[in-house]
Amino acid sequence: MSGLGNVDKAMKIIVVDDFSTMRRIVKDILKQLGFRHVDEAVDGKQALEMMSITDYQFIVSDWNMPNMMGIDLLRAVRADERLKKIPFLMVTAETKKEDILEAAKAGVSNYIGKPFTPDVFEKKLEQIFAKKA
Amino acid sequence: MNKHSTGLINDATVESPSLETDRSSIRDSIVNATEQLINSDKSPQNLSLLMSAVKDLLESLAAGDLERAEGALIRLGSRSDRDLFQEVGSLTRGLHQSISDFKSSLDPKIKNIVVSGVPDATDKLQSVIKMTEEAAHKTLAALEAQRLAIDESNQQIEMLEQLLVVQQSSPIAQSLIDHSRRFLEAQKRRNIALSERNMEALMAQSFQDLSGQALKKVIHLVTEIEESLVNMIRIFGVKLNEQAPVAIIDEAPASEQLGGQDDIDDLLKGFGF
Repeated sequence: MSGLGNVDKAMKIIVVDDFSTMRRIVKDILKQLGFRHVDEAVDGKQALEMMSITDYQFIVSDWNMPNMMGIDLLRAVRADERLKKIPFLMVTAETKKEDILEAAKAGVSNYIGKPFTPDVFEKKLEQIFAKKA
Repeated sequence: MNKHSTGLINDATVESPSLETDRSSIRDSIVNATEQLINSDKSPQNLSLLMSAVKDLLESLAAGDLERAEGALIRLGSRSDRDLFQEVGSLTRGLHQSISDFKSSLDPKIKNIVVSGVPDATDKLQSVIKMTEEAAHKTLAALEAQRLAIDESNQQIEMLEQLLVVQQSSPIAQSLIDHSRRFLEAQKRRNIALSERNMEALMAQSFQDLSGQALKKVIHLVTEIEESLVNMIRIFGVKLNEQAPVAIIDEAPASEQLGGQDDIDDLLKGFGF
């Protein structure tokens, strides 16, 4: 896996998903790509609390979660002066056109439908960070 | 002359105020009956009944039997209302019977489904999510350990490759080095293939997330159906807090299931095993 050579692998990443299996899978992929600092949150609410304490540089979030959905987390992040520029990747089983459009309007950085391959994940990361740089 | 004749039909020349009132009343009744006839149900059965009442009216009038004529007129005039009341009465009895039948069918079958069947089913689905989650985590833990082993193997290969660049004067030693280098090359390729398969197995565990989400949707749906059933049963006055006499689902409820061999052994200990 390459193409992320210029990306800072020490950046702080938060993975938000109510399913522990998926959090672990995404975390494993990120680690395999060289990212060393990956935290986990079970829903949007917990993610926001963690973001108020730690400065994360990248958010990977599911859509469908209890307490606070991924789309609401995205809107909250984009509405927050301190957080609004953090790249936000939505990784979700919700692949309806209107959902993708809704996320795009809310300012998502990229969108991956589950199930996905590590190649797709890496490619999306490359796109996100190429745009950012 | 008929014994009922009061001069109304046969002796029109002699009129009293009461006779005038009777005539007026009968005229009104005829007008009313005619309107009813025009607006009435035109089914053969109803027409036959109406015709019979009309015949009765004419005969009684011809016979000067005003009492009978009045009775026939009332029958004619009130037919549609009576039919309506009869129909409403019949519907009411039918509805009452249906409600009674439905209530008796609710108890105990539907009640058992609500009291034990649905919660048991949702518990089982929850336990499927839990079991697949645990299994997926075990697989992921094994794959992570394998990933570390592959990384370590790659580091060792890299280190050995750096050591094996030296040329040896001895052909045997050189041959050994060449052989080792070829082995390391092959091992590097095997590690790449291993790593890819490892990643495939890792990604395959996402089935747990997808199947779990589908099950959660089913649980949500079943819970909504359960709520509707509870409301329906309450409307029909069936008490829910009684113990269900008949088990709809044959298996033991989830709460009675033991967690694992340790729980089974603990239970067996109580019986002297």
